[in-house]
Amino acid sequence: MSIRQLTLFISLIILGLPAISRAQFFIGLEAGGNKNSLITNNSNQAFTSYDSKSGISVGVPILYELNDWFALRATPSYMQKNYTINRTGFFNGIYQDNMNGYLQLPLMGQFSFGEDQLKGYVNLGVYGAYWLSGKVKGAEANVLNPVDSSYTTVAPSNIAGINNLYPYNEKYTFNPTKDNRMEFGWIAGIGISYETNNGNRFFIEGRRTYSFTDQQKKYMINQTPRYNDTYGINVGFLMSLDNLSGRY
Amino acid sequence: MALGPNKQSIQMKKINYFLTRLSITGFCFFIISSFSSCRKDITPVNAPQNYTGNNFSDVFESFWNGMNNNYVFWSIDSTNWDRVYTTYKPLFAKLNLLDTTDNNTALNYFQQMTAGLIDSHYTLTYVGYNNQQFSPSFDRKLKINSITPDSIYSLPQAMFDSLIPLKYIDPSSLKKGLDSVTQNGSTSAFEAVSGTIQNKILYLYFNSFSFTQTGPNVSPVLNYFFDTLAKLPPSIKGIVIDVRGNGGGEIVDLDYLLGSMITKPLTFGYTRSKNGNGRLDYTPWAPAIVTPQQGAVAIALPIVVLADHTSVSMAEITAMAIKSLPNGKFIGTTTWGANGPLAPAVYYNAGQFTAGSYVNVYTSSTMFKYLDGNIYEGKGVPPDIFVKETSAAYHSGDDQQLDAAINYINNH
Repeated sequence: MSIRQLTLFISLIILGLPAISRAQFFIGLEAGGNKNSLITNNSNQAFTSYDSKSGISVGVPILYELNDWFALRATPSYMQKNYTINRTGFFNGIYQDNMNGYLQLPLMGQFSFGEDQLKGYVNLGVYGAYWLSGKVKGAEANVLNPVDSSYTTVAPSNIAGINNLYPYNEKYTFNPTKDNRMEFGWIAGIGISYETNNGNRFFIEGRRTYSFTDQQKKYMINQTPRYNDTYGINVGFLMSLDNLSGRY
Repeated sequence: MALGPNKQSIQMKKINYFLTRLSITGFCFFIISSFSSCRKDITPVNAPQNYTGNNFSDVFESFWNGMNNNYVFWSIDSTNWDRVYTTYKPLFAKLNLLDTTDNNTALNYFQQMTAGLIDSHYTLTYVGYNNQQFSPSFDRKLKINSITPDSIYSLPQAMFDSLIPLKYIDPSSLKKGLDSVTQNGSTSAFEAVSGTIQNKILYLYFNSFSFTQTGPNVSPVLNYFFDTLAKLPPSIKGIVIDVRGNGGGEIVDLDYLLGSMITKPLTFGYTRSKNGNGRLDYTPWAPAIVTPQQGAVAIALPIVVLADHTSVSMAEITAMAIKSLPNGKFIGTTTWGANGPLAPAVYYNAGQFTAGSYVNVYTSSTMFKYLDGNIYEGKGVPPDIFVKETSAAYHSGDDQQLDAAINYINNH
């Protein structure tokens, strides 16, 4: 997103501010599950696929409601963006689950529709995230731990018949040359919220997080980019700060 | 029916209100959709063997990308592979694949590009031209040899055929045999010698790791060694495994050999391979393990491995495995430096490949790290006790390294 586009976006929101009739702060909690895919290409690698993997997210939504149809929303959150590398065919059993935790700050405009307690809404915005932690779990063929040490002559039907698989489950060590730990992208969501009589809100929201920064730094020629692409569903609640401070 | 001024005003406000919401939402969607163009194009990555190789640009691209994706030592190799791309891509583009002079120029370029690679298994074979081979590590050893003579040439085969059997091995125990085996697609001689020295040392020499292909002549040699090992006479005070000049071979032989001398698994190092196309995409380190064999006995006696500068690959790995034993000792000279095990590329998505039907690249599939945390690829494994063989000693009927092993065992 260029600076010009961002300026236009912010200007338009500011232009809508005269419509403010009542501004109200909400704060709450949300949690959910997601499914992340690593968008890349590995068509040169035989019997190898990059598959999506589920993860979790928790966040603290903060809503600044400018009027009855528009609000600004920020949700500092912890979000997993996981994926799996699977070997197939003869190599079935070799895999690596990559579990990556991000601290993420989305800034969104929230457009609400509907008149009464039950409202639909759409969130649109951008986010910045920091790749906080990583863990890898899997199994690899251990070349220096062969199976056929007793010289049997049975033809192997799987790689595990040639090399013992080495299972691992360990913290991922970041490589400062390779790993790009900052991530930016856009975020969009669609949800339903229900407002209780005391002004608090419960919501359920489907969300897509679309990274446009490569997960790797540019460290070599002909580098194939890797992008996170995440679909998630979150449930949560929002409490009016007016309620918290005793004003109804 | 006409609307009153108030109702008209409310209606207009509602329309404006709706249009504002609609335009903001639409604009936001426009902004969001434009974000998708922020991603770089993801183009298919082609396997090097799938390039046509119809011209030198194609050959270069397949070779460079194949190395970029398959070579396992990028994390420790000092070759600037990006600079190779920017330097040699335009040079290859000027060459004509159908011109003999240009083909020879291309061979020079390949040698220049790969001269500094630390993978000491690394060998280029120009299958699309003249089948000549180039090995950067061999090339380096030749240069070293001009400074330090004897650093490249193997010990004379007569050392193992006659000197050791006649001078060192107790005649009644001597077992010696030679069979033909296939290593890397070509036939070679598999030779082994075993017996006792001074009735105190059990000795085994073999020139390659080809135990699974043992024929009628070598089988009795190995059977003698392993049978003696299983029922070790009390007179035996130590064991010597001689892998000098051994060019390596099958990985499973390590279990068969050393797994007969231990009763608990032995971790002596770690290997890792690639798990992605990036130069620095690696799997975690997996332990390199020697598995005890059925009927194995725990040998507490000194085990000496003799290895030298022409001990390559599995011979070096065996030296490291023995060195890691509490009763193990490596005597000789620093090994060749080709420690990374090989397997077909499909096994690890790394290692050997053919680029555009023109050049075959023989390279390791995995990287080996010794128990001490050092990676000896390109450097060679240093001995615990350095003893250099000399021509003068050989011609006077001595094997200085074997003498050192005998002395070591006699003193322990």
